[in-house]
Amino acid sequence: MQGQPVHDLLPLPFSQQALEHTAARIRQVQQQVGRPLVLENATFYAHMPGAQMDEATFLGQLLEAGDCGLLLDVNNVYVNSQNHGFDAQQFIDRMPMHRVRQLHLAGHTLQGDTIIDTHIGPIIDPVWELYRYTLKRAGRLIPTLIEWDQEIPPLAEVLDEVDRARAIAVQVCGPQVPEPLSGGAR
Amino acid sequence: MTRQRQPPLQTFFAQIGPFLLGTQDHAQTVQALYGSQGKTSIDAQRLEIYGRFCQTHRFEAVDSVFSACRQAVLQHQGDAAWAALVHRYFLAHPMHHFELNQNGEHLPTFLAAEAEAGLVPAFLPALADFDWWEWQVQSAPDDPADAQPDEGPLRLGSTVDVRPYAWDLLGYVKDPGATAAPAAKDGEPQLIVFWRDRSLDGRREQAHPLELLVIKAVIEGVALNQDLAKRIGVSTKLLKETAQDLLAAGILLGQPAHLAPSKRKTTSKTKSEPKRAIAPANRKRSSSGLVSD
Repeated sequence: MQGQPVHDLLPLPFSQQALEHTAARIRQVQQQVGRPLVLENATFYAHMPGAQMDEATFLGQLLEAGDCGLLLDVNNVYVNSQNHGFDAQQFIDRMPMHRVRQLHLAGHTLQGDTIIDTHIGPIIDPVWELYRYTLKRAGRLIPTLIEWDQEIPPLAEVLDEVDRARAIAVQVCGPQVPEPLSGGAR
Repeated sequence: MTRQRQPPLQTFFAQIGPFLLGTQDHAQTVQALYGSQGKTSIDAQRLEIYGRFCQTHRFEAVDSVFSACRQAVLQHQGDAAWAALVHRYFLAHPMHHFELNQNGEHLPTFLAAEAEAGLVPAFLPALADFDWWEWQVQSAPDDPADAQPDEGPLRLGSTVDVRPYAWDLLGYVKDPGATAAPAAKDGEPQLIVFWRDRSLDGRREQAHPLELLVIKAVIEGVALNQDLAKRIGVSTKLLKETAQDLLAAGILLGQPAHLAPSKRKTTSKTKSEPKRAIAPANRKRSSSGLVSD
């Protein structure tokens, strides 16, 4: 922000100008780094003034204009859908699945009337269902990361979440899933 | 969704920036961003979340790294004073680094000016410096030169630093509630060596003059031999034992063979040979006044 890091995810106005500004930055990064960039859909708690389109339109056009991949955070889609009152599955329908390189799953926290993307706690059932829906829409296995970075539980609890993600992936995509983690931690 | 206005992106950043940086309140920002029509909207209300998050990060940047310093302010001046101090600090030194905790690097200097003005206790800048160097040692990246600690010539570990303090900070942080302030060191400063030991744990202890002489000799490539022992007035045996302690503690690195006992007959122990302060963490220390955490 004005040359100063604020160490948080901040929303942009969903405007044409913001889209062009961000797409130019994406192209610049990819050119300088020489590697493809994967952009994540973030949670946002307030629409910024000057919006000319909704989030899904903004994100879809941004990915095209920046020609980059998508890290689709399924929990973020759910959180935003609840906070801003849209249909999460319809949002998934509008994502360019051929650009999705990774999926994220996480828990979250209800604070007042707003869900905050805290990465705390187990993944709730509606997010699991949205994950299942996303894999069906993609029609392929997509690498999936479970985020749990505050109030971290015993490893076994996190691995239970991994097992559940794998089970869903097997149900949707067939038995092409890597073997579960082994080791004595469980 | 609020659609009533489309400020240029630069205007948007200029309007929301001061709020996120803690220099403009929520009401003013809402008015600037959403106008009178939208200032009661849910978006305007939820903007407060971002102000809160950014404020939290400012505290996160300094609360843990400067834990002793914070505790001292809480004890002397209360919670509100610490909050105000953090606010003043980030006004003077806005965040500039992607590594959150690195943004506290100017706090000791900032507190020196604050102490000069009588706004904080006089010992606080030193305590902040102490906190900062503890963190520097703990968070320093691994240096390839440290990868084989028992190989190569005698050398200093990459994380080692010695800092002088005009207060007994070690005594104070050991039991900060016991005294209102650390005892002032009259005359000689308290020299504290900070380093990461062989177990990669951050450590800090008061360094004895003989240990500092050994460290200085190693830095300058001076052999730890009988000649040096004679010059500084200790036995060769004590000189090498001191170096061995430093080696075991991880302050010195290198082949222990460099410290093999001399084949020449060593001189007898000097009458008032100084004690050594630094011992390896896993060695039981003697009761000879060794300083411990």
